Amino acid sequence: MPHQKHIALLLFLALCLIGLWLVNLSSGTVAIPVEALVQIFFSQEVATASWTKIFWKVRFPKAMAACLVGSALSVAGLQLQTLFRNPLASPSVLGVTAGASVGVASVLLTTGAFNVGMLIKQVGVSGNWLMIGAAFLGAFAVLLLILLVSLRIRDNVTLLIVGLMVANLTVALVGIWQYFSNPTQIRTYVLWTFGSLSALTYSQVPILSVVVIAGLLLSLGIAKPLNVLLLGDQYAQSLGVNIKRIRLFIIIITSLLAGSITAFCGPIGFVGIAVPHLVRVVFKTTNHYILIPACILVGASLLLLCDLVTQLPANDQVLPINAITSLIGSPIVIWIILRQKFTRGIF
Amino acid sequence: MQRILSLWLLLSIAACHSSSEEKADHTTNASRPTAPTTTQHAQGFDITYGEGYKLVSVFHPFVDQPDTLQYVLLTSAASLPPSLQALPQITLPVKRMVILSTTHLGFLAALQSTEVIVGMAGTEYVYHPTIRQRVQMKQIASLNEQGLDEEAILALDPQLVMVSGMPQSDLGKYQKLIDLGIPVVINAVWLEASPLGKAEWIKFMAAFNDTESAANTYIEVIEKAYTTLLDKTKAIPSKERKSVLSGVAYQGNWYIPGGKSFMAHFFEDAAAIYPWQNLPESGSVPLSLEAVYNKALDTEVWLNVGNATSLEALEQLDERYGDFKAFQNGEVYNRTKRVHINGGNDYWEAGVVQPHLILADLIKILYPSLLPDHELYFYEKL
Repeated sequence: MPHQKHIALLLFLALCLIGLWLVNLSSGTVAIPVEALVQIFFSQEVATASWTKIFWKVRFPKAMAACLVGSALSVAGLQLQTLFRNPLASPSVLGVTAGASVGVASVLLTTGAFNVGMLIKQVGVSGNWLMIGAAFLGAFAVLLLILLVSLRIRDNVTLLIVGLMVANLTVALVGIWQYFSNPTQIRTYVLWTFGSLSALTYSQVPILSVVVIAGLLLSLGIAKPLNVLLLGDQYAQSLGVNIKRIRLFIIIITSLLAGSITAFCGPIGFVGIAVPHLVRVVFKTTNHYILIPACILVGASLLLLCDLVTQLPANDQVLPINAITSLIGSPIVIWIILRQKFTRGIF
Repeated sequence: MQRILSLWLLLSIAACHSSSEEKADHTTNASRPTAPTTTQHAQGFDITYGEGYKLVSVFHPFVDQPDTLQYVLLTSAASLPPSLQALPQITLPVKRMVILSTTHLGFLAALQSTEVIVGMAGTEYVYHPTIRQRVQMKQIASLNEQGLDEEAILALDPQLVMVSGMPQSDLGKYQKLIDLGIPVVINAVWLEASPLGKAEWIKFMAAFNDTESAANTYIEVIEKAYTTLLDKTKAIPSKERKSVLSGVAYQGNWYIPGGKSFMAHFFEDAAAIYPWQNLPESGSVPLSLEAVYNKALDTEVWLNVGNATSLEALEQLDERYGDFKAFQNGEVYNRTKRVHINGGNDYWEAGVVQPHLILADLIKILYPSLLPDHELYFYEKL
């Protein structure tokens, strides 16, 4: 596909994203007329005061969360798939999600002397920052472990296996805690694992945005070595790419992106693995200068779309976002991959 | 209210006295039938009395299973009708019982027969001081409901194990115990929706301890206290009624008690306007934050705010809570007044047998002038 076509496609995706963002902001369980929404958006007073609050405190943070989650996880997944040259790699394989879940479980499930939550509370952190902090610390701890391992080994496959094993270990740890917890604690934990875009509040939007945008910019910064990595480690080395350093970079960026998302919104699956495949098939390129912006646009659009679907029509109920991303996305990916033979050639 | 309470105390002492007399009677003359009891409010169980036995039926043992489970309680060695011989049999009186829910503890405590407990699950979260003491002294074994230790239960030599008909649990989990000859009794009180109906499960418990007369007296007092309160709230004109919101959001989703839930029953009886009274569910329903937020903004009173015990702690959970009218007016209450440092909450233990106190608390919160002398029992203001 020629370069101009890529640019045109990216522009089209950007328009889609803006469109979906507007649709997402204008739909919800409470019916608010479009004129009122426009007035609210441009900081004008509207007759119904609660509409302003609903827009700025509920819908806006949720739409932003969808964009941030979708773009961050997609780009993280793309990088890892390139690094490991494995189509099954996603942020969860490095144990980032698992680490975050251990952090959250340590706050929610343990009791008595082992309650990390109690310890953190004594330092003066509480409320939802407690969970966010715990998730981030958990993800960071696992990252450190993986980093130490990656400094010692050369082989990417070994690193992948270590990541998977660390994830298994954390599942076991959480399992033991669940076993000894009471039903209320388990319920709270299980609800966390469903993931949620609504958990992000207005004042948290800037914090998460800064982290995610920084991570995305850093990703664009390493687009060139990522392109070279696809040609094979030896070839990359001969072209002057420091494999160990780029590996370190990717791991840090991934945990920044996936770790912060998991901390604020819970573990959200599927996006990280599926969007990179979608993008590669649609753009028919391996150039990361195109793939990264495409992942950002497609990931954000997909999450906005999924969030629209979670709102059951004519009903105040919502479905868990995690279920919807997989439910909608998996068949699409299967269909595309079966139709195209493109994926086979890359890895 | 104070008068009702003291009357209740008096009667419960009397009931306890008569029940201990009855127990003494029972040991000398085992074949003597105990005072029978019938259900008025509860819909989940029934007890029928035959010559030398009681037949206890649980109609709705599990959340998704309407099959009736039956148990034969033998009061004497008399021969059973052939139709009943295949049912699980328990010889009365039960002196050694394993309970797997703290709610069961509430019933036994109200019947003053906690001494029958030899093992229980969730001992870490018990509020009842005597039980905590007995757990510490190893007189009550701590069990784990999720990973049932059959050996530990067998070693306790219980006459029955009482379990909750929780969702996803079926008798399969307890099949090993049944195979070992230990009767497993399903106590489905949590599926009972009305407050008085729930409290009436005390009669179910009493059937196993031969304390039906004590249970009857107890329920009469509770019922009287409850209906007295109901009469007060009925008189409140509809435009003076206050609206309530219940619960907090988890990760941005709000689990709202359905219109047929235990809490919604209380709201109705307390003459509160509950915006979700029309939801057909008897459990909680996950609603979108936006849907709840919209209604919650103007709700006058906010109850049951998770584990939060201060407005600051509540706002730290989600800054959006600060927008609620009830929050701004300080009309936020939580059922955390009787919580032990271990996390055990008396509301979940004794609340089920003291619905009149829960209702009185709600009335006091909503319409303080109706109960000037009542001091909040389970609830506290944040």
